[in-house]
Amino acid sequence: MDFDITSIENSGYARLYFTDNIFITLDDTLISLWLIGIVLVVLAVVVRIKIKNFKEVPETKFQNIMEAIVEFFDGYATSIMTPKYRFLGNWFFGVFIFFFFANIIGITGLRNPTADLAVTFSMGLTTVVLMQYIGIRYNGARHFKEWLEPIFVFAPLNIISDLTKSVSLGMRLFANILSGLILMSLIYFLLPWWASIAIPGALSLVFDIFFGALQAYIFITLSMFFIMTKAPATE
Amino acid sequence: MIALLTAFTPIDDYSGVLGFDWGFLNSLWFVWLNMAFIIFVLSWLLYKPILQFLEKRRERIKNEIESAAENFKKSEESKATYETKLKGISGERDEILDTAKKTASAREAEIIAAAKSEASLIMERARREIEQEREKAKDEIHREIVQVSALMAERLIGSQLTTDDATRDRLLNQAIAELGAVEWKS
Repeated sequence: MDFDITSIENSGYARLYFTDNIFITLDDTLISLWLIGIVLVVLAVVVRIKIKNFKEVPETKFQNIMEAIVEFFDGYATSIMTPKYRFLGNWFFGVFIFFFFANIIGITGLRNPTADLAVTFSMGLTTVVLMQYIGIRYNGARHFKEWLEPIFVFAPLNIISDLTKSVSLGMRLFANILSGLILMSLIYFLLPWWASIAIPGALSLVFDIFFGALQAYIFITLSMFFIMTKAPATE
Repeated sequence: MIALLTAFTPIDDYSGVLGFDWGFLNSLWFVWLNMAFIIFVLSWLLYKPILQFLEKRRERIKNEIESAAENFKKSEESKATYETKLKGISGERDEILDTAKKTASAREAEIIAAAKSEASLIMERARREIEQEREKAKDEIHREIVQVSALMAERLIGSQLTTDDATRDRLLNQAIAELGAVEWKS
């Protein structure tokens, strides 16, 4: 393991080598990801500490807001995935909150982690893995039989169709956020300084906050729908 | 923003915005680990405890509502039994009133009959007494008449003995007047 300082000089990014082919690039994505991570972990720890003071009848706004978010998300996840697969809400809640923050962190000037295909694609791959897990656990052999439908010749197509769900999910989020990022950068870059106060603010509201929240929502909704396609059709 | 602009300029082997190489594959697993940690912490420290808290509260409220419904049902049942009992009581009351009325009317008839019979008895007795009185009066009148007759006879005889017409007539008239007075009396 050695630290390659030359790559910092070349590209602005440091690299941590484990072997020749296994290394970590310390780029903008990781930095903003860690920042979001710190914020969210602190938030989670604060909630964990404060939950001891939570009352049966909410007294603080903090408790109200937290309860509203969790209850809304739980209701949404349950409505899509049925109460049987409600436990998946644990994962998707984290994904949603993380992506939400990752999508709107652009307003601070940091690079969105979701504007990196590695982030979105790895989450898409996780969805595919969860799809297979749910299919195998609850459908058993029928899960593999479904790959052979309508006839065995279609097996490669079915498998590719499953795998490309990750590309579909990853590319959608990545491209949306990256386009917003590029657009905002170009607007900041092209506008004269006196015009770069109000106009980019309004556009940032659309591209960073609105599209960010929308894309996080779309990502988890599609993920949950994809997973439910692998679940047994009837309860 | 500066970083973004530099990202568009691939230097060395850095792939920039989009590239499928070792750099992408490596950031894939490393970024996944980071995100999985964040997501795990969020779900473990934030989502689950609040969800359990909400679940507990929901359970408690559900139990309370259920027990309230059960108590309500129980009270309804007891109310129904009391109502039927009350209805039975009113029926019983009617029965009692009926029998009381019947006995009362029977008793009334009895009393009236008894009173009537007693009254008739009294009347009978009174009538009999009147009859007796009348008989007695008749007897007395007879006796008086006899006495008067005897008196008249006596006077008549007496006057004859006197042989005085005027005195005889006076005596006779006197006797007749006395008789009349007696008859008037009766």
